[in-house]
Amino acid sequence: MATKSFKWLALLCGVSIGAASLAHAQDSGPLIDTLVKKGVLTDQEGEDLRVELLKDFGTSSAGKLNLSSALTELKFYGDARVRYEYRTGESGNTPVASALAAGSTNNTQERNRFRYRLRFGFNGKFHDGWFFGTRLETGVGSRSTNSTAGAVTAANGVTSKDNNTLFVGQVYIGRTVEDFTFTAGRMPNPFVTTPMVWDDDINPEGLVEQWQHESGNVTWKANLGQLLYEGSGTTNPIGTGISRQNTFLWVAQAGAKVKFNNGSAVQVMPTYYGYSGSATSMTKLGTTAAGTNSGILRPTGLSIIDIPAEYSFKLGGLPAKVWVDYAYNMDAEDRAAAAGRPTFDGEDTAYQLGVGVGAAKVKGDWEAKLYYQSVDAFALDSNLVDSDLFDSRTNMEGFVTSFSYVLSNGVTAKFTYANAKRKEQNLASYGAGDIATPNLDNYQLFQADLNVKF
Amino acid sequence: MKKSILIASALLASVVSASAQKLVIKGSDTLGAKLVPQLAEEYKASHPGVSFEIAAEGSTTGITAIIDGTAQIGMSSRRAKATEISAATAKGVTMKPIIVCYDGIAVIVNEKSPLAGLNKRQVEQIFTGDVTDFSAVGGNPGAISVYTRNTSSGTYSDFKDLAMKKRDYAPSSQKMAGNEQIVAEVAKNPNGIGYVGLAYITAPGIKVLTVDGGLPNKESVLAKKYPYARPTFYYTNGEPTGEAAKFIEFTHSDAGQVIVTKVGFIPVK
Repeated sequence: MATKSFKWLALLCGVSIGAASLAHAQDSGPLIDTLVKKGVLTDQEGEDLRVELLKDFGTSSAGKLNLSSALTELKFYGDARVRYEYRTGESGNTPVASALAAGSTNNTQERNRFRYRLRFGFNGKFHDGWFFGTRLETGVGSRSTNSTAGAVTAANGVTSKDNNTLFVGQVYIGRTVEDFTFTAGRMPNPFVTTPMVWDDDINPEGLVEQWQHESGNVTWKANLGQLLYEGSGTTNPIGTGISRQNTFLWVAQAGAKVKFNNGSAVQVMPTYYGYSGSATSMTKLGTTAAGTNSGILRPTGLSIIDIPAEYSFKLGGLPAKVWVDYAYNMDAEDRAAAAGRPTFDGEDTAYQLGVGVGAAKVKGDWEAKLYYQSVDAFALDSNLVDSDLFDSRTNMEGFVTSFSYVLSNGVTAKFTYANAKRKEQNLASYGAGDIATPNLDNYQLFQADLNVKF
Repeated sequence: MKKSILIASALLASVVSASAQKLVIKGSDTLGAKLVPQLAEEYKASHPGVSFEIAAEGSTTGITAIIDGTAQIGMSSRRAKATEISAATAKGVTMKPIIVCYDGIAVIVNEKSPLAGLNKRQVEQIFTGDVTDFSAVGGNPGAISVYTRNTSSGTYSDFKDLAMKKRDYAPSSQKMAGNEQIVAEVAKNPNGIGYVGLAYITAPGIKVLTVDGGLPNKESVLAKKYPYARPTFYYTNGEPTGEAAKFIEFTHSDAGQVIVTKVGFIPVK
């Protein structure tokens, strides 16, 4: 009897240790099968052990989850961030209308904000290459996931939760078939890009087809997107209603990443962005007159060639990279005309030059970045450019620097500073930013973030 | 005198009650359609006071019956799932598996089929619907009719795990209530294919295919060389007691295992 008890105890310990944790106990079948095959256990003892392990597993946290048997993988992930932000900008005009109305001659605006965000998602895989993903996030805008602290309403009092609604940031379904991936829905940005062209909070909506093929040291890539830019819906209204078409953003991107034997790599991904329709529910392009350019701008006159390229290498044992993103709007002439400034049809180019050292991955890691960016007034879609760094504007030039340090695995502190000015003084700084002037000059931004990722 | 009559009546009642003991056994069709009824008949011959209620509606129903306490023995051709063991634990039930005998899930086709065997990949392709015509696996051209068990069947679940990498059955597959129904359909349909437990492979009109060159038999199943070999189970709430324990003991006895062999399964000893 004592021998039998000892055998059981040893087996339970052995299997549990072998399985690393109770959460893995139900995966111990092959180990039990091997023990049975080798005669260490009888078949009956093996079955008893299986039940015992499953019973223990059922009392663990993981064992209490009851997931669809159709799932082959389910992953929960997310992040929480607290931020202090200071941004300031000057108006290139005489004092803005609102300031004058208030009797002020002040021409500078400053904003101090304490902000936080939550993003929580789960994605899963099924058989035959099918997958899905979802993410809930704070922040109603397409280019921000922040809630600003200190919301006050008469009804809900101080520190109300009026800003704290969770929105569906991502919901998508897709399938991978060999080198191809097809995705439909509202998804993480699938394109190789930089903040100069796309704010990284934007989750494009529509259809995306991706192809990736490795051949030796070369990884070939192609991404196609048919993205819904504005879904106005009714195309054949009853009665006298206006017929509207949806506005689409069409993206075609193809390129390659080449790895070299010394560990360095270069990636070039030429891209084309084209639009059909002009998002008629959006504010039209305005002129440079004060107060007429503060709204979202229609994607009129945009047919952009963009070439993001990156060279990554080791610098004194640290990962490092230099990159360039060059964009040229082939229809800048039309966009300038739509803005009422046809003589500025040469405002068609944008570029970003950057260098980065380090990689913020595990405790003690750090990463520093510095880049210079110059964006002509009619070079890019101001609805997509980064909302923070140059206040969602085009016709701006300046630099951005950031430093990240990993305090503990999953916990990162990050500091960002940006400094920019208007490029062409005779044109507005197009876009809808936080600084309330259409002619933004001498813009500065400072952000201090504490981020927890899980 | 009156007192004596009362005592005698009480004694008689208790004897009648004891001699009319009923054993409720529910679950697997693989075990419950042939083997367990024959074991029960033999057992009754030596235990005339015992009656049986046997319901063979699938392994899931047998495990559920143990959890719910509506049977003393649950028959199952598959292992209890983690969710079932958790549900049992939550109700204070301790699932105890007892191996009854061994089985090999045989892949069967119509006896007129020219096919002699398949490999594991082909079996997976056929039952998941990746392959829909017999010409793709060396048979006569013709749309394949896949016959499977229903979802409460342990064989349905085991075959999915053992032969199909847990993938879903072909949407066009037809779900049958029991092994005998699958045999009957495949025997009628020259383009039919299905799977059954070893106790059902001698039926007329069908033939068993080799899988990776091997047939399910005593040697290949016991050596676990046949890819779809499996144990079959009785489940009880904790260690079996009373009449259930005696019946299980009889199942494992030489007499019981002779019946196991006669029915077509592989005995535990």
